[in-house]
Amino acid sequence: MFEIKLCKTKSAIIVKPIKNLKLDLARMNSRFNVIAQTSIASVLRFDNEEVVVHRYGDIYFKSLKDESLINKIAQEIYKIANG
Amino acid sequence: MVDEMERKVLLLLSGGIDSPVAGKILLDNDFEVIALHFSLEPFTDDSAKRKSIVIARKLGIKRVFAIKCGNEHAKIVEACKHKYYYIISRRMMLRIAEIIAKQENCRFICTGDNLGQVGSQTLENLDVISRAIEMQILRPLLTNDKIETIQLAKEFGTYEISIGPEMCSVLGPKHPATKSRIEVIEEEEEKVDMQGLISEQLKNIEVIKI
Repeated sequence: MFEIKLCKTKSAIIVKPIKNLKLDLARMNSRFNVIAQTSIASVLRFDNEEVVVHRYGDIYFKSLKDESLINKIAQEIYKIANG
Repeated sequence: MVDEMERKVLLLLSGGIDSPVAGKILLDNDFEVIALHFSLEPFTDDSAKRKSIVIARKLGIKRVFAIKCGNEHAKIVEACKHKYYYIISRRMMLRIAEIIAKQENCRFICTGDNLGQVGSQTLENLDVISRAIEMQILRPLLTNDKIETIQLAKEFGTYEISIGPEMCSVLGPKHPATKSRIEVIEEEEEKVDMQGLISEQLKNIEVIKI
């Protein structure tokens, strides 16, 4: 369960889990195209979109606004990293 | 030449509310101001950088140096205690600023720091941050309250730009250290190749002429 909204500084769409998660970023990184990573967050690329994933489950979409695509990518990430 | 240098300042320009106000105060006091913006890309988008450029144009700042620093900040997150992230990353930014300031014949560095406005901007932390460099740091807003700074930003015409969209950074700790000690921070900094991180960032400076 998650909500999709504008982040507080209004630039990016953020997907926020209703309950706090602790994602397995290493597992996630091994399955996606990673362009930058730390132990607290990774930056993934999906086609032309860059997505920042925080270990507590927040996902920031830098430019994508299509809610159905955002929903699909978020589900894909949670399935792998919170499986 | 000496006189020119006396009045030349490198402003750390974030795109937020405070640093444009600090810059404008110096401009109004006949300082020549150039700006340096650090962008946390790829951990953010480039919206803060774009705002900085618009603000620089608004203020009449002729040049902005822009550096993408996300990957180097990530290395600090990885190696050092997370609660010191803001202090160590600020010290790194100041070291870079000092190098650029010297190259550009600036006498001072200016920031929008404001005492106690955020958890990491305590007197103890600002002291430790300042000790990273030798150059004098001007902090015109140090004791302003936020309402005062917002009022000035509105008067200067930068407020509406500053509050525009900007992507949140995900690298900061939830509970930053508020009372750091120099010996602890220096010990933490030994866990990263600070000179290497600085060199990497200096290789990729973008100079934007307004």
